[in-house]
Amino acid sequence: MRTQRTLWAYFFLSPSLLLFGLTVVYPMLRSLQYSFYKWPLGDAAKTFIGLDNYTKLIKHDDAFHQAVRNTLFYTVANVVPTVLLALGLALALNSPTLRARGFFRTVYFVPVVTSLVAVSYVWRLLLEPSFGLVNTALGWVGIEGPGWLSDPDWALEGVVAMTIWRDVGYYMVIFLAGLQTIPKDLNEAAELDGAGAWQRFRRITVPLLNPSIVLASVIGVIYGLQLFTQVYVMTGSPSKLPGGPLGSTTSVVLFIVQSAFRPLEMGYPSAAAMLLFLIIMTVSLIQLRVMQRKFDY
Amino acid sequence: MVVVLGAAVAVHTSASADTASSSSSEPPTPAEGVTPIDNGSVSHWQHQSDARAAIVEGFISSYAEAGGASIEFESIPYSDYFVRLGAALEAGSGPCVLQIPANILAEFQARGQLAPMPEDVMTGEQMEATFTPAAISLLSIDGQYYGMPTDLQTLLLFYNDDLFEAAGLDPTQDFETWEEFREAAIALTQADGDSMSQAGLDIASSPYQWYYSWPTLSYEEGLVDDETLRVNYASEPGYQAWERLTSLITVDGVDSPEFLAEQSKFGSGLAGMTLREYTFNGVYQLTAPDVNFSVHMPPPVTDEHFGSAASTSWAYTVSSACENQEGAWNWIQYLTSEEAQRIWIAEGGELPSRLAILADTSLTEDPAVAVGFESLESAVPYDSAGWDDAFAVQQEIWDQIVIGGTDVRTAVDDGAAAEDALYETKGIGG
Repeated sequence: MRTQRTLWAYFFLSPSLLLFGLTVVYPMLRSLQYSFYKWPLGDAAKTFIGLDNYTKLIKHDDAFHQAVRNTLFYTVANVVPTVLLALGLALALNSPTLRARGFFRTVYFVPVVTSLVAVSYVWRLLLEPSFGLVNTALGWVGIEGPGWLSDPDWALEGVVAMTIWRDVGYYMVIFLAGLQTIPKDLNEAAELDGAGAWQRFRRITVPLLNPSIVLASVIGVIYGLQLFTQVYVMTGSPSKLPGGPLGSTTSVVLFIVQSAFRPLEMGYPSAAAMLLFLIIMTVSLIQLRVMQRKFDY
Repeated sequence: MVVVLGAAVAVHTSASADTASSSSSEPPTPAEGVTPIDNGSVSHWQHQSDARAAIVEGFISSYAEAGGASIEFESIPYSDYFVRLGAALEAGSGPCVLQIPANILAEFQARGQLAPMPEDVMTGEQMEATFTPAAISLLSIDGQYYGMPTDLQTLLLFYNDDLFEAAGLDPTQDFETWEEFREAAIALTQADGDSMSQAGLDIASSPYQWYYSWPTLSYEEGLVDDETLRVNYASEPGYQAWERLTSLITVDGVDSPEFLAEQSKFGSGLAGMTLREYTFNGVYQLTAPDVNFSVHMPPPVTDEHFGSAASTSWAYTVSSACENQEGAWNWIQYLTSEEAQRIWIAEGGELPSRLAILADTSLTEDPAVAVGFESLESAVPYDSAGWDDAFAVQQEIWDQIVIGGTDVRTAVDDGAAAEDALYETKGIGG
């Protein structure tokens, strides 16, 4: 009986499994295969070169190293402030005393539902050094704004600023959902026992919000490590390729795309894609191991 | 490059398909007479440009009316074009007719993706007698042609005449020497306190036209050795071209990467000069109607200077996997015929690749068009054996010098080595 039920379960799962296999597993396996080859498109010879692509990427390719550094910097610089800011907003907007909570929640969530391409274009104009709104506003308070996307020292920070602005509403909703699952009587009991607001936050809210924090952080890191669209739109133009200036905004995904579709060679970028997969998997597992807490109440 | 040609819009030239006369002198060997055939549909891909797509749509209608096959046309955004094309050709689902930059025709051919042009379309001799050398020099491999030319552009100098006059300069004169040009650029530059308020040159937001032109014009045989496919610009003329080019910013400060970053300073009336494709004659007429501009031949830059202007062009080619080769070539012949080219010139902002049209004096009443035609007389094709990939290497040289402060020789040497390595990766060099 049990075996039959299992078979039926697989039967009903089979369309999804088939689709998953065709669109995810198969391309990954082919990419793994390509990564051991010099694999130009077309009829040109495909040459097995073992681990050469990996060796070159890890030991010799400065552009790849820079892309990895950029991606890690972006991920940390984006996820940490976004999560903290979203948590703060969620706490504020979860307060029963705040009027027009729905309005503010909508306001903070609106950037999430706008097109990433569209907002990237808008931010590109906002960050224009000589006449952009950001530097103009900084000028009003006596600060000389940087060159942002024209300056290799500030370009990635410009991308980070835009992403924080756009993503904070998304994580805020995750935290709001988490906050609303925390039983009110726990806080009330703690308050009766004399716990202050900070103690209640630290001892009750944060531990019970742990699943939401872990979820937000893991999603944020995975998205961060896959950085592409913002860089592609904000730093590319009809007369400049994205990822500049001087590679300061090139992410690993952009590196992969450019390595594949400029010379139309699939082996080398496939190896880079495999390394990115390993990085994402390793970081996510570490995050889950470090951050996840069991908590009973 | 990169997508400037995608920005081509209808131009207001004195040329028109209806009014163009055939008062020109005859080409050495006429190679004409396209009779549309219908032996099955033909798929055709090119990168998106509103003006070019509209022209092709018109040709599709007239081709069908004349008895030609149905054309399955796709105009694909430039940002996706090579990704889709590469993947489709690999999967065997690519188009029959594809538009590619002439610079990477050899690369596609090396991958076995292009069909040779049959002799009954045009022989090599007919090609050379029919088209200007700048348009076809990159379309032949070992004496065999693999495509027909389209979207020929030269890179020309545009003046803002009002700013010239305000600076006490004569906007009717071409520059005879590098120093004259440089001094004019300095005179046209203005600052408001510490901030730039007017650039002498619009160069920092789109430098590629400059570094395509001047190193190219410094070598009689172009930037790449035809035999070895190794670049030659890591040598004295190349160093001098890059030095003079970048010193306009690093020494003379006639533009800044942070002044109106990524904006068209020339189109905004905030730059004295710019170097752009010929098609910008039409682009600026439409997008910057308040800018009073004129078009000029580019100045000589290096001590040894070859040719009048650098040129770029694209090619219509046929996939080797196309089952309807005859239909595909017939469609290309139609697209590149003399009649069609007059429409491309009038409505697409192109320069003529056909010698017969180039000699048609009725088309050159507009001084800007006349400069465009004149520039083709000894144009030198930008001949890097890559497109976005070679562009990325050369942009890196520019950025290293202008933004990173790297000395010219180091940056140029590194760039040349990277470009050589790129060609080896692509299996066409080394």
